Amino acid sequence: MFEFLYELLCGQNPDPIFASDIYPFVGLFTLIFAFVFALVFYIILGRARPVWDKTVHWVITMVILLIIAFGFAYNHAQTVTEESENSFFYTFAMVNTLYAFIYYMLFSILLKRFSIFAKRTPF
Amino acid sequence: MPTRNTFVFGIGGTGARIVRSLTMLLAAGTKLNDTNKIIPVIIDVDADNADTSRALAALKTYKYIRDHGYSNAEEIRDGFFNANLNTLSSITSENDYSEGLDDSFQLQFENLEKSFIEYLDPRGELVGDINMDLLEALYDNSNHDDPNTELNLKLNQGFKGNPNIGSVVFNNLSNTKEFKFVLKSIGENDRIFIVSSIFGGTGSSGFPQLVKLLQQEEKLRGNKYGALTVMPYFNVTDDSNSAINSDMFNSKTEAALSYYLKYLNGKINCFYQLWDRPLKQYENKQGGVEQKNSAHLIELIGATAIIDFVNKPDGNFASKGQTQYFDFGIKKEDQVIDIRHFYPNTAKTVMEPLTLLTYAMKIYLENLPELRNEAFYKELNLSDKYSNNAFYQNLTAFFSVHYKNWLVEMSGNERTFQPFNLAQDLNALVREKPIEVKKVLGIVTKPGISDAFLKTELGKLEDELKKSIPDQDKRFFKLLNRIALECYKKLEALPSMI
Repeated sequence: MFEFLYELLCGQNPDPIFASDIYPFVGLFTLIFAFVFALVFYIILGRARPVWDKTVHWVITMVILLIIAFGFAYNHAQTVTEESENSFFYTFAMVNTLYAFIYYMLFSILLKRFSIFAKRTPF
Repeated sequence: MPTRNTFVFGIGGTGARIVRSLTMLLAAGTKLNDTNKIIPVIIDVDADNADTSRALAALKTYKYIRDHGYSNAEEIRDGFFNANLNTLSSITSENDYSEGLDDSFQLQFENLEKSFIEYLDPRGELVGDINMDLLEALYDNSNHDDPNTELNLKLNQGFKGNPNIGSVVFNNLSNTKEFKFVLKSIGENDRIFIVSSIFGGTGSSGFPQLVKLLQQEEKLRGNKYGALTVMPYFNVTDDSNSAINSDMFNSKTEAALSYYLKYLNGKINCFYQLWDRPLKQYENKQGGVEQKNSAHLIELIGATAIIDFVNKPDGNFASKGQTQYFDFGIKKEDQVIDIRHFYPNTAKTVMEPLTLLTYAMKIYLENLPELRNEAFYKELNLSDKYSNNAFYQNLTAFFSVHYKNWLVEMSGNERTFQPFNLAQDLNALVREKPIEVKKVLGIVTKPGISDAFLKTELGKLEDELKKSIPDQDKRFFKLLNRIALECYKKLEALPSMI
């Protein structure tokens, strides 16, 4: 699934290690990160106290997630391919950031109803 | 479900003011035992009396809020506005003899837009007659052009301290369709309570006449009767143009008490009496829109007499033909009275609910609008409803126009009743019992009732209530009650004297 998602936007990379190792790993962990961030925002903090529940908090949480998603994808690609510079890494990291954004939005829609203080955040 | 109703007749300006206080106590959620409905019936010939108008407006608002704030209004026995305070016509569905009855808390007299002499002799047939000589002997007519002499008094402006006129007019009460309806609708288990002052005109004449008219009905002689007679607790300024003179209050009281002792003893099961040294001198207003006396502690205490009577178990009444007499005392004589002055029973049954309602009022009027960004606020669609929804408009009116003004008036009157510091925050709201705010090195470690506390509790309560109350308005109404209870938990207990 992740191979399809990344190749849809990045194009196919000649190095097969992207399809076999990098896409599934980065894709799965980006999905998990997005879920954990939404879970913390809507359920753990969002049901405990009204301290981190407004749209501005939601945006900050998302920006942190996106930075992590970008850095994680770039760093993992570097580590696995053992290359220090490659323009494809940027493209891959940007696409991963986009998917992190989409996952976060989807988890937000899914989890907000279970929140108390953030059930109307961001919409 | 209890089937017993209590009919509360509020006669004259004082009667209306005590019914106004009763409305506030019931709005606060004061508990009524084994009671289905409270039917207040305000009887005042002074059609424009501002005191009466305010009481009627408060009753109407109460009824609207209760009807719209609960989904199963008939069964509610807990929370704000839980008592079924209703109009005579609300008994319509149970009977078929109420056609054409207004949905009103007031009992309307007819043909009072004239002077007393025109009322007695509408066609002018008595001019030169011996009966006119008798009338002129009984009633003051010394100056034919003076509208304040007894025979020339305009009846729709009240009896202006003349019970000798009131007793004649009240005799015709039995001819009104509302009163006929009252007689038919009082059931054998229902209770009857009559509130009047003894030092004016309307109340002092209306009370014995009303008892007489009710007990003329064979089927109403076995009911439980209660009465509150309010003796002088204020004076009015001297005004030679006014028919009301407070120098006469005490002699009128004495005369009326002698009459009551002779003719009412044994006919009333519970007789409550209230008085206070008159400390305040009201402006001398004979009636109409200008008669708008500030609420007074005595009226609040008068309303507690009604609660006491309503809640009295059947077995606690004296045997038939005997009257029990009740007075009310406070712990200590003071110029400024607060919650500490009341004995534990009154504190529990009356002051605790009032404290809850005052928390709710402060939160509703002052705190909630500041929380418009919170999820619970959006879930309840409050930003739109605060301004556009009739239920919220009635709540706003009740809190800001009726309840708050009632508290403010009592705190400005003498003797002063000041249980709450309305201008201060929620932590300092209850006088002589501030909620402690703890700080360590300048950092608040125990904030009491803070904005954060309100946001947290309102959010959690709204989330909890959503599961059982899908309707937004009814959920909000319950939420208001629950948040007041949470604030009360922070207070822990009412203040008391050491």
